[in-house]
Amino acid sequence: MLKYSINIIIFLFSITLYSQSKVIDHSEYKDRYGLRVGVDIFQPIYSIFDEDKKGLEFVADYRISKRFFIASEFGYSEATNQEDFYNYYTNGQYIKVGADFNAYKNWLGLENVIVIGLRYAFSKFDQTVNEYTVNADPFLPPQTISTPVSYDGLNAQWIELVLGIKAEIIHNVFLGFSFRGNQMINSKEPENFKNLYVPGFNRVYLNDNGFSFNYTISYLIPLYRK
Amino acid sequence: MIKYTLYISFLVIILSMLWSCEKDDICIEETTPYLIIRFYDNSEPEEFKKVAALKVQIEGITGDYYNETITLLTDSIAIPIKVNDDITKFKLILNGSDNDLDNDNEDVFDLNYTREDVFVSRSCGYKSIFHDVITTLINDNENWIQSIQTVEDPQSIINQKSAHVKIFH
Repeated sequence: MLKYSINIIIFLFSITLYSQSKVIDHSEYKDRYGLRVGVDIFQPIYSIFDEDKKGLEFVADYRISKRFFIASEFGYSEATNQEDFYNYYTNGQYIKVGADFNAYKNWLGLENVIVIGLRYAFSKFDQTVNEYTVNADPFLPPQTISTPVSYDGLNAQWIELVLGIKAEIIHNVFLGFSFRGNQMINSKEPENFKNLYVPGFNRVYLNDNGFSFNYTISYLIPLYRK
Repeated sequence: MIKYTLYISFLVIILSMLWSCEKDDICIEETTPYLIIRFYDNSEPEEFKKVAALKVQIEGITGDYYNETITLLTDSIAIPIKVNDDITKFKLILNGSDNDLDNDNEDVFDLNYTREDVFVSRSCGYKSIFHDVITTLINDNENWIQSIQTVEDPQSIINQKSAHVKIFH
């Protein structure tokens, strides 16, 4: 996992350096504005190796000023998680809406982005406890309940702080990586269980925070110049 | 500028890896409660009275339930309750943990209850708690236990903060 992340970073370094070698000579250059749409490629690849996790995420951002973008992600996720005494299945959809600030001052004609962003996110999901074993003294025989219990119509809302990079690798095509720190605002909890995993949020830690990331490939649809 | 931001995002990713072992990976909350019994003097029902060399067995389970407090001279014990049945039959053997087999005196009592499974936390999972607890002493003409009763009526066993059952001897 760690090795993987380092590889991604090194890869992105090289992309950024490569992109900077382009030279455009314009005395009065106008920036391109448009809609960038893309897809997360990490989750589909990850689910090849881990059958218990499936998901797909689409991303989009729309440039509104020199350094600001309106940004959104939406997708679905399903995951079976195994804990010491039980395992549970979570599936649902999520949408994240917010803004990105480009912290990178591009050379003329370049459109790379260092993203500092904020999102409001909402997820609607179901949870099923497939099986559990009562946590009790091992001196006595264990009690395992194998009848699944479903909790439907759950939801959660949270805030995400986004740090990321988008680099143009070929004309209009961007490769991006973003890391998100999540903080839950509120969630509809099931009775006699807990929202331990939320689509889009991933694992919910003890003090209601978590983190997620995506690795995207996106295409810029240029609309106008300004 | 790009360098700094890359360093920062790199740092954040490294930190996130360190988060992967969190406090909620270890079960520290109380799980299924034990039955807590206190021993009282039959002639002075307000006074605790210690039991010598007690041995605890549970019917249907091979072996003794071992707990360092049980084999000593003790006036209180904590023993597990069956979570796969609505009855647990306890055998309390007076002088059972000493070397002399002739002085052993085995008394049996039944604990009847209803069970409820309650979710505790990510790492602890589910625990069982017990309601409508009823104790029944089985007469064998040579009982060392004079009487047994629950502390409250109706009695629930939800935690281990206080005793659930009183035994007079």
